Amino acid sequence: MSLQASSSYAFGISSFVSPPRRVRHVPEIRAKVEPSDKSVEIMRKFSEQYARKSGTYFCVDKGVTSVVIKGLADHKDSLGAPLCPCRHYDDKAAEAGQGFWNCPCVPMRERKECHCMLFLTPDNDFAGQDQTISLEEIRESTANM
Amino acid sequence: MAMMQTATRLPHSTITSVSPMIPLQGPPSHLCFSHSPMTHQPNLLFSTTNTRPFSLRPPRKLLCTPPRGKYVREDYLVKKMSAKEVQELVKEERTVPLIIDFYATWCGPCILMAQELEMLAVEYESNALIVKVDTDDEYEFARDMQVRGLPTLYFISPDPTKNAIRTEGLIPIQMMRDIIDNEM
Repeated sequence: MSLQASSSYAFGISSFVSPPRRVRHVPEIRAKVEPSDKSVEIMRKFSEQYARKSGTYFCVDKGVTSVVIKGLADHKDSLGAPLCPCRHYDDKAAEAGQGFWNCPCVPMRERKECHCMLFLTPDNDFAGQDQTISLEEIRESTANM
Repeated sequence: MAMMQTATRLPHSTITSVSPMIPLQGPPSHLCFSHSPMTHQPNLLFSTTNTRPFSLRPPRKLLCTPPRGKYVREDYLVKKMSAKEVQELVKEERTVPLIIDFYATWCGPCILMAQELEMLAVEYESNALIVKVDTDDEYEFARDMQVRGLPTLYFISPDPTKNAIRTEGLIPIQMMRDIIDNEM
């Protein structure tokens, strides 16, 4: 899933197509990165705590919960705030600053509506019994991504 | 405008019908908008800025082969496409409905939707064409298509006079079958 966007070296590019050569291992800017472990742990703890506080439950399919937690962690790393990963934004930085869609978003806070299926009310068909999820579960569920 | 609301929809899913006749208006809400997609006149959404055919462009020089997306295996029936490829698909003549799935990598319901769409692809085989677009890759295209909540599905009929139908949020597979069978 990670894309190597560019090398940090500035070589002159010859006019013929050179055979693929090994790129030296240097810090590269990647278009899509795995969120940092620290952020994942922070968002995992937040999710557990907020589920308890709001009386909501995680999805029966913990893969969904794991993916959303990683999405929140990814936005926290890149934008400084856990912007909802289940929306498309014109300007992510502006939205993160504005705060409507920062988790827990306003629809969740006001009406317990979480379209990411992270926090599910007990009457929801997809709601499970758990309000906890371990780091190991998150890792296992998202290992193939 | 919300043309279709059924009692079986999941929470937070919305369905809108898009008329091909009404031109694009101001800043619409995500529940109520209209635009003119896939008609023969040029329009904002599918205008091509590059008129040079692919075959005449100089071959692209690669410094290294791009890494293959592990999560997009060749044996998946629902193929990931770029904005250009989707625009080409929409413009060309088709005999089957086209379903476009807008998703994002870290969107949980999009994963469930992708599983449902794979099942649908197996069921319908060549009677429906299902593709997916990563909104993080194709930012402008998603913006032009007014994608807000994820996942968003567009059902586009092979008949250019028929409305396109757009759904937002996770919807049951039966609803997708109903839309394809009855509306396309």
